[in-house]
Amino acid sequence: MDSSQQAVHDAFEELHTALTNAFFAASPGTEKDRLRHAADAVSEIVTSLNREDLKSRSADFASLKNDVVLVTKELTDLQASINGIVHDIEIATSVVQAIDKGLELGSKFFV
Amino acid sequence: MRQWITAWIAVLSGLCLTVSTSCISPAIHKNVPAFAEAVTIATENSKGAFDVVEAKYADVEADKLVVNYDTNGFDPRMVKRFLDPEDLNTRLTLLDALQRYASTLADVSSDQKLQEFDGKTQAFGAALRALTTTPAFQKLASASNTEINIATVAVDALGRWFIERKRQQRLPELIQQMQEPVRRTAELLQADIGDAPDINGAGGRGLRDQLWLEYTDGLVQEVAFIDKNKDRMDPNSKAAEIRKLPQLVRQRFTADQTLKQTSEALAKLVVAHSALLQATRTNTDVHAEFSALISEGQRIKAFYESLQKKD
Repeated sequence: MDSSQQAVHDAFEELHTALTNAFFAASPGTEKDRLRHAADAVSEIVTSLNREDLKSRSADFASLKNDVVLVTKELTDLQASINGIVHDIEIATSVVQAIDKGLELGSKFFV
Repeated sequence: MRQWITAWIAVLSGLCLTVSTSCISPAIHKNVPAFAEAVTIATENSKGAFDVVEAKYADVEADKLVVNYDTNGFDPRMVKRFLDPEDLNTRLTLLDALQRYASTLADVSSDQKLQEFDGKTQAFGAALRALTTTPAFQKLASASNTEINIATVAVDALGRWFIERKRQQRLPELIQQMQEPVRRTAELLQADIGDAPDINGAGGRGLRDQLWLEYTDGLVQEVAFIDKNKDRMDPNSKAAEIRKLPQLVRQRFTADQTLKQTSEALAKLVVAHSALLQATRTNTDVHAEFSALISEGQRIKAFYESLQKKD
């Protein structure tokens, strides 16, 4: 929110505070109802300004997500390459087991 | 065979020395999971901040409907959200991406992969032992259990060295790359959380301002409801409705403080991420700091949950 928007926001917010204070101080009746309706209307304006303020940062959030995803992708690649080393030893074990089986079978035929 | 063993022992000794001097700081194995947990809690609490504001907005809109029903009736178009789902989704997607970064970082730097590798190497050693004991193999070559054990340990040391080397080369660089996105994310979320209005009811912004406004509107609607119905209420119902007023005032303060603490925790997360980078480069243990951040985050999380239950 830039300073001019903040000034508008502050003006409405102060008005809302003044209206709600007057509402709490008033005795039940038409005047109190009127103060409530006015406070509700000003509250909607302040809500819209808050909503717009949040909306103004949405594009920055979206662009940051891409940076985070990029680094996470590199981390995932590192994770895959570490998993590859763990997997290689599994393959080596299978190869040894296959040699074991091959020698066992070979010995039956050739010895 | 003897020459082969001698050569392996030499390689093994070299590897053990290299592994012991070049592996990433052991503190990182302990620090990163704690950091990942702190990130998860901080991001969940940030989501909680949006949820609480949205839920309170819906509550107050319903309160307004109740008070105004006799004059305004109901139109489905009156049902609105505070934040556009698209704007909310943009933030949730970033928070999820941040959580994925932290959990992948924890997975990559954990000791679990090394332990898994040790387990697989033991299986490899067992397969080698089984092979060398077969008569067919013994006709081709001879190898004692000691020789097999040395070979297995050498393979294990080599694999560990490769894993540690990859981590040492890449992790500090990737954590460094994330410093700016983490700082910027925290900054944007802190701007979203904003400030509560001051004593004169001005200067508020963001979610804290919105939540304060919603609670104040909630108080207005509750007073209006009591004013309209007090003559028709039995004493107990009337007392129960009046009792809600001071509770709402207290809830407004505590809910605002929770949002404030969420914002402060985000600032601490940036410092923690920077400390994590330092820990990868030096042998610093920042586990205690991360634990404090986790405890604080859990307390905030519990508070969000209690607020949602109350509402």
